[in-house]
Amino acid sequence: MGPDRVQVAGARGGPRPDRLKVSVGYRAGHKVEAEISYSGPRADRRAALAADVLAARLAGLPVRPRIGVLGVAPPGADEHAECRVRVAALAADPDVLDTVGHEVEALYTNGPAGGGGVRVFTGEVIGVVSTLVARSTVTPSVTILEAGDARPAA
Amino acid sequence: MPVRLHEFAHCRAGDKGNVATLTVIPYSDADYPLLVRELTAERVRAQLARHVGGSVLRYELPLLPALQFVCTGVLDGGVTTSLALDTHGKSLSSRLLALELPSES
Repeated sequence: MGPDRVQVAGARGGPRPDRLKVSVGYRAGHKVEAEISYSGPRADRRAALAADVLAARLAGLPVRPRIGVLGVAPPGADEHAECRVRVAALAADPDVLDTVGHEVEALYTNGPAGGGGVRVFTGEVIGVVSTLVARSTVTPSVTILEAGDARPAA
Repeated sequence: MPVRLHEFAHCRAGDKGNVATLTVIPYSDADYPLLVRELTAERVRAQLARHVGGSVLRYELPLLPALQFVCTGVLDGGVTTSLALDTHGKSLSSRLLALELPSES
């Protein structure tokens, strides 16, 4: 139409949907993520060995851990090589997941040389799935919940 | 001579449930036909084969211009329950940009 002017035409609407989308949160158990680093010459091979050790040690637990090696060790770049072994798992029982963390920590003194930087994170998982509900069953309202121990920002 | 996708396009990843969307946007509109011709859903599927458990569906958006790839079976079930490090699949965008394409000339 011209500078800073546009023409919009043909806008129209349709009936609003009869159903609304709902994101349903559910308690999906607990998750652990545990990691350990290897650096220097053959970091990738030591990390792969540590991953194999973890796979064998965790085989008897009622979890299906995801075990992987992050990072690569390019030939000739030994001093920059850095690989991190990572294991993650979900379980209903958090005690089982503590064992996963302990197995990674044990690699400090019972695993390939030079392992360091172990971090173990655990927490509850809220899963999310979506579904549709009839609009007629929904009455909008607002509920404000305040944390009892919340502090004002400094 | 082959060129890498990242040299003339950028990419942004989104997530919804177990689906990742990867939108590829050329820096120059003139490169869009090349993307439409070369960047097929099959090629994207092959490039990300280790990460995409399901199908890849391509949408063409010629007026933007951009291509959007809807990849299913990617996120280990969903963001919160995923055991991956990158639970949103954000880094898939850069993995896709490593794809080699035949150059125009």
